[in-house]
Amino acid sequence: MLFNSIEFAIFLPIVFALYWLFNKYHRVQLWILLLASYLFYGWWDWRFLGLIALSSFIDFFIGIGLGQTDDPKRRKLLLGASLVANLGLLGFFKYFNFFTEAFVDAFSLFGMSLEKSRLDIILPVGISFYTFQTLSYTFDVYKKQLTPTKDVLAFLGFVSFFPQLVAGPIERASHLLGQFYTPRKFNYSLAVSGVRLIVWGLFKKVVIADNAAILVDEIFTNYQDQNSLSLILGSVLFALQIYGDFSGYSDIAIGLSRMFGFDLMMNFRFPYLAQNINDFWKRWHISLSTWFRDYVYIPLGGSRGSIAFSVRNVMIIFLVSGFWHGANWNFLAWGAIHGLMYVPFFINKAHQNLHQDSFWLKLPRIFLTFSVVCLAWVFFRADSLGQALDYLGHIWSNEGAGNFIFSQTKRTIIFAVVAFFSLFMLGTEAFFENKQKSEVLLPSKYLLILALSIIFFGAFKNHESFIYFQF
Amino acid sequence: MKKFVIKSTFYLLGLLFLAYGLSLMGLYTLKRSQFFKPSFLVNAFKPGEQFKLAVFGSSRGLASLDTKLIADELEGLSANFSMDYTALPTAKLMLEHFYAQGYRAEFIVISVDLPDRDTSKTVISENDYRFLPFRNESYVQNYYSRYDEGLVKPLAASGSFPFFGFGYYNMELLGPTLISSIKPDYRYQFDELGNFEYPDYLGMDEKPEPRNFQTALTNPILKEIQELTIRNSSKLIIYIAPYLRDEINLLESCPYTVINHSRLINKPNYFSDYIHVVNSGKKIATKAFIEELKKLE
Repeated sequence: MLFNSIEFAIFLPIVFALYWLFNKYHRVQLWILLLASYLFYGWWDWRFLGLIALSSFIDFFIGIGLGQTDDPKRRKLLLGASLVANLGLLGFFKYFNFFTEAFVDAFSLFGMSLEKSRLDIILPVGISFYTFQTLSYTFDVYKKQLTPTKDVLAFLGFVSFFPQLVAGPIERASHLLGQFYTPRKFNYSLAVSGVRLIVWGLFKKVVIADNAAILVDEIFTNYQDQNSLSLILGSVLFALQIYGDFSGYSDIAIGLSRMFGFDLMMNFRFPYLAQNINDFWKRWHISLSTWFRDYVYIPLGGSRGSIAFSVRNVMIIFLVSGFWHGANWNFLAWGAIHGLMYVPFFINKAHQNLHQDSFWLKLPRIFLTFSVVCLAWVFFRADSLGQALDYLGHIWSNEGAGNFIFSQTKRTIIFAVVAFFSLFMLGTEAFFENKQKSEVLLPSKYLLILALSIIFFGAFKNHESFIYFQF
Repeated sequence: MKKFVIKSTFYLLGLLFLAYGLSLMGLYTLKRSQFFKPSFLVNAFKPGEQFKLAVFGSSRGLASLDTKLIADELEGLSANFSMDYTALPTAKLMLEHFYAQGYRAEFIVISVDLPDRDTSKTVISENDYRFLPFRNESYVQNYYSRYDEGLVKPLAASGSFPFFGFGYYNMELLGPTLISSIKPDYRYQFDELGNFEYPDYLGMDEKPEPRNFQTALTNPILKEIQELTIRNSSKLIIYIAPYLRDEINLLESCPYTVINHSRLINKPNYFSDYIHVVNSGKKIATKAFIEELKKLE
């Protein structure tokens, strides 16, 4: 079920009404949330409900096991079991074909030929998200930073909580699980702020991302015929598409959670206002980057060593982060580019005190960072590493004669709509950042205009799924 | 909670009210314009106008017959109401729209394409949204209810909630609404008699392998069209425009008067693709059509 679908528009008011109807019965509320979440997830493919239940029960019982023993060997064994089970599921569904093909290719380098066999595996929606969420629980229990829960209903609800189930924010048990234990009272201000975020998120998704997608898809499919301007605009439009899509989803997820009395962590903080790549990564997909920081970077030794040691760890994180997005070399390249761009700022600690400068001093840095990010997005969007390099080559050579955007009035109108509303979005974000806010909460009258712009400028005909569902 | 529900309902109703008003204004502007064919049909001619000939069909009917040439050769008013990216059901809808305005024609020409020869898909065509300004007409309502797709059926729902259709087809309607509000007589890629042409420089170089089809034109929509023309005292002519690749042979059981020019032109330079003639091809097709029509008169 997509947030921007009719099914969800019917589903949400029913669940919301039922949930608050039983506000004096905390356990009933938990059951409603759990059933709603499983219905929400099963709407795609009910067969994968077993998978999410299995993943939840494994970590629930491993958590109980960890709570019952202080024996380091036994604790390591339990942690290992969780890692094998979770990463095994993730590896099978997401990376099996990639590793099989890489293995065969490696053999071919030595003159041996093996037959490539691909399995027709359907990737369960959101598996990377909920797997990381359950893993974080086991890690925290293992490190004794969290008391293992004995409330199976709360735990199942925590793993499958429908607002953030399929594309995050990847929550930590220490933040979200506890909220399932305590009874909730309807909080008017919280719910209103939730609605505001939902409208803002829908606007970014339906008006900016889905309209941009119409142009981006065609430009990337026919990139060889396009001139440099068209290709540059294609990469910029994809930057806007993926931001509108993913941060739009996160805003809707956080907003929905607030309507149900939950608080989710922030996932984006105006990333296209970043002044360098280091700053960008403090603002983009925060829940994933902090996950990698806490559960991979710090256990690897973090920055507790020489500069070379720290840089190695940074590069590992960026490569793993790229690989998390998909089993493809272009995602690894995307991670590597960001890693290489990040390292100089990491060494110089250049991110400090950036925000005290005047707007005009910030602007060139913002523009430069955005340009680098757009360049890297080409690797993210392309179907393969070769295609990404070819795309960039065509920007340089300007071989193509076509310009997809300006060759038809309708596409030019779509481009104008995306450009206008993207500038509005970035301007609004700059305004809120200037006020030292980390989210856009517009007053009601502006929301009304925003909702009207969703109706009259949204790409309903080009009803797109959320990009991050595939991860 | 009560306050939240009341306020949410208030804003939702306010939003619907504004969306309703704005989409009504937009559709009214388009209804008064000549931007798209359905509005052009209403506003470009006098009420109760008597036509010598009117052409209905898809882009092939639009590209193949020049009603200016026809009007020069035959006395009387001729116009082309064909619309690109549509199928036979839309041609029937346009014909209903034509008669509903009180217009009459001696000859009704229905241009039939290969996919519509025996059946038509029950799906909405790409440009059917252009009838939205006339969504409250019973024939448009019936058409949208029958063909529109999806859970919401935005075109069918537009009878009561015009913002559904306007919102769904916003990128197709916003520009034309804006242009029509400034220049109501502006026509989108057709002349004052509804003609459109592909320029000669688009002519092709290669000729494809020919294909052959046999048909008795059993599509039930053609039967409905025939009944409609009989009721309105028009003579129905089924027209098969030239194809570069396809030959259509009619079986004897075909019950209609047909001008079959599927193999009239063989040279690829007269075609912009396998199914559309360019301007010079259009002239050949129209002249041949006029000759056939004179025989029928």
